Amino acid sequence: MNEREPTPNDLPADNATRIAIFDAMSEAAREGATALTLGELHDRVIARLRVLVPRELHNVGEREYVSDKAEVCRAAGLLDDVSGERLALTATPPQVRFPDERIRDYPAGLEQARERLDVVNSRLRESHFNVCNVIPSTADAPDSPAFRRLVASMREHGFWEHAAIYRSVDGTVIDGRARRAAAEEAGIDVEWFTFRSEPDRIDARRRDTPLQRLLVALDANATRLTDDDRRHACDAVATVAGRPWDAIAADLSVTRVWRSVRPRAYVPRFQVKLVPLQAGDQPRIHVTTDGRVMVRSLLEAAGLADYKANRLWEYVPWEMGKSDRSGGPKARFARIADLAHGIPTMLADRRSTRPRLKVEPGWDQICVWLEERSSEQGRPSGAEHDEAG
Amino acid sequence: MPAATNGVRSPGVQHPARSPQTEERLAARHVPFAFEPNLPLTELRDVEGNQVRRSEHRAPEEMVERFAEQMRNGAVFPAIVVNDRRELVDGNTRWAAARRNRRSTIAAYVCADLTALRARALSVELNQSHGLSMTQDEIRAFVESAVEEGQLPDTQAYGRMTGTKPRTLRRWLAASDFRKRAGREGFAAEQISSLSESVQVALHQVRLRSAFLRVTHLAIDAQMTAASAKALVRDVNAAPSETEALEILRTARETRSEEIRAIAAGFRLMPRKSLGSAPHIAGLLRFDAEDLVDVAPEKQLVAMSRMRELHARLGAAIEQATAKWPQGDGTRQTALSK
Repeated sequence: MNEREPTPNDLPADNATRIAIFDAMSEAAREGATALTLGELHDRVIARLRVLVPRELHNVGEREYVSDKAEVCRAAGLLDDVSGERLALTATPPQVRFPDERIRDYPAGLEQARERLDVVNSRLRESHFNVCNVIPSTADAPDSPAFRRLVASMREHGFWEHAAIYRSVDGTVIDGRARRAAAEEAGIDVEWFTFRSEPDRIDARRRDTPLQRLLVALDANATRLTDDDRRHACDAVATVAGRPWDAIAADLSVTRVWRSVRPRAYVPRFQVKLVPLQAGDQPRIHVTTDGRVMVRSLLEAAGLADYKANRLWEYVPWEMGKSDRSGGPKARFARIADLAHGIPTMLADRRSTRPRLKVEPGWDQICVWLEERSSEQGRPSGAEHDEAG
Repeated sequence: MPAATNGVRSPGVQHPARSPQTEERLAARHVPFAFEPNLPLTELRDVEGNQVRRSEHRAPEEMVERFAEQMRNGAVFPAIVVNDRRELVDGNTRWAAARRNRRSTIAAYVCADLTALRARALSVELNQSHGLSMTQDEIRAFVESAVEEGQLPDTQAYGRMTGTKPRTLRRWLAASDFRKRAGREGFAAEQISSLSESVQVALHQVRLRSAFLRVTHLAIDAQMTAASAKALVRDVNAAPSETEALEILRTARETRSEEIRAIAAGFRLMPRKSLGSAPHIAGLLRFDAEDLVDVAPEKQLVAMSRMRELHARLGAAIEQATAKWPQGDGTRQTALSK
């Protein structure tokens, strides 16, 4: 699959339509019709376009729109004229932006395969399909030699950290049921898998579909599952989905690259100016043009340690970002108005629970600074609006 | 499964641009998402088909101006919704207002792995829950196109999503199915569109292909009303065999031959006078003889006179019908008598 480096807005605005035309032509070619008239193309693609571009069809007219886009595809080298007024695919496929922002050649049928898999996943969810019910586990037979050996191993070596069990968002354990049961019997704590970073966690959640769980369970247990076990699990999915497993497997194959790429992580970079805490101080506080403060810089300017802010996050909404004036790691930013309200509340709460608590003078300096900045800014943020378009 | 990413740490403090309503809808649809409080406007892509709204309803100018003014004065709007390719799913007006104010970023829910169809369904649902609701035509176009694309017509789910009654959705889908079926059988679009939607829905119920072809031709030729189409379809479906069903249709066509000829010649027959009398006869049939004579003493004379007159007219009508109507003896009950 060819790849290009991501370039903003590199793909045409009508790319979805080009792909729909490409898919319709590819499907026709599979059925033996390698060339289509404009009318035949219209009939094959219009249902899809009604979903994809209803507004454009309404405004331009269905026939006119298809005709225009066929011309666009011809100009882009996706279609070519053959034998009179018939159109055929060329060797050039359209391109598509994958979730990782890379632009790749579009594999025929990708979009429809994704939609069909969506339907399968929906049906599996609706029927509360649980992959654990169709994949046998060693824990199913607690008296079996295999399970007894596992319990004995747990008692001897403890729970191996490198064999930590992954637990899905809904608490389901897809792989590791035997280890969990053995740990319980041996009376030792289970090692749960934890993500190294937030993007890792988000990516895992993105891929957590019923079909993905099946694939994980099959692959993780590949060495001990028999062909019959695998077939039984796949047939169970096919029955619930109402589609033959071969068809589902074909769709999984078409979408493999799409499913495996990782969406690009994004960290905003704020334009800031540096402001002093007090007149005569060195300007060190990073303040954005729309009134957000890098909290770390504010605490440092007041002589407070970075960790002192940890209690604050229960009182103040924050955003992760980078300052354009520092090359450091991501930092938390908060709005001045929210800090001006949140910090005194936090301090008051702390004083009420621990009356003899001494609060560092730095907090008072910060409160004064925030008050001054707040009054400069005028109205506070947070006025929510419940109507939106 | 909402993402606890930027902007929230405890239930008590939430980023003002987060919208529990939107998050609830995304979670209900199993759409993985991340809240991004500062998505640069330059990252957003305006592509064809991002909107289910037709252009005249998209980000109305006065609404954009109002939102922009509110933004300038510090109002925080709920985050827009985009897919992971930064293509807009919901929030055209907010996006337009942010651009008008020359803002560099906007709060957004970035949804992972949305197919075009799911994005469209989500867009419809979010549009219905805030801002300018979609028109019936727009909802109908969406529902029909989704079904045409092979989606399951779950009217309960679509009803929840669009705020349209499931019964109405079922009617739309039945009419849409009829049009597709008739199109496959070679009926021209103009012929199909000459039938009212209620007639289309009624005709779609015909099970036998041969009967479907004949009854559709008949409905087009005779410009049948929904009531008569429903009655005819009911009889056709109740027929014990295909031969009987086709016989019913043959008789129905014969009965309407005069009307069909008139319509073909560019005329319509005058409405039959029985259209006015039939409901009154049906009304009288609801009363027993005792009910009809339960009359106040001062009105009995007039009542008696009217009943005699009615009796005489009905007697004459029955005589004429017996003589003229082919099934005038009343022993044969078919669609013609309904």
